[in-house]
Amino acid sequence: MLYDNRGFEEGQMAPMDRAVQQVLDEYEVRSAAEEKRWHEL
Amino acid sequence: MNLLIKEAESKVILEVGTSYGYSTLWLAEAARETQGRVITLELHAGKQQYARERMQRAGLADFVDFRLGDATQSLADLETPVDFVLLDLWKDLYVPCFKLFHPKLNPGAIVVADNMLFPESSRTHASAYRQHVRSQADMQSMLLPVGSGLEVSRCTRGLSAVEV
Repeated sequence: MLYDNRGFEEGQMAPMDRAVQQVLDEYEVRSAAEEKRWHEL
Repeated sequence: MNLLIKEAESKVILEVGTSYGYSTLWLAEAARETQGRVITLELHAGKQQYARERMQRAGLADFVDFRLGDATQSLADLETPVDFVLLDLWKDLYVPCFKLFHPKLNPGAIVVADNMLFPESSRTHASAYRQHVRSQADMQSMLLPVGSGLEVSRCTRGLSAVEV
């Protein structure tokens, strides 16, 4: 299936507040560590 | 999902499968903006506790109603109509869960089901779910090949012809 994205303007979400962003970052770190562990099995 | 909820101004957001709460965080952040709430269901007490602590640290705990137990029982007991559902638990439970919350969907409610394409071991159940949703006369549905594959469905029951 072809996808025509001409004319598409990339948007960016408004930044999260600091407390939310901090916890989101922790989840990212945890996820990366888990993925690494899976690859090492 | 965060943007979908904000755009639709969804008030009652149901998450079937909290796990460690990553999605819950995005849902709760949206709920704070729509002045809504997230009802999130989880079987495993340890996972729920992990998610609960993170919601507190993110300042979003007031927007999340954590419910512990078997999802099918929690859905049978669900006391409120819902505007948005994220379905992300054991894949063999997708159809039974859908059957339980389907009558409680508000007009225009959106249902997002994860893992439609990956992992491959889930595809049989994922396919059965898609077939079931698409066989419902009051649901519109499409597969988005994003992430692990999302089936995004909309309840048209109670909508006017213009809204559909």
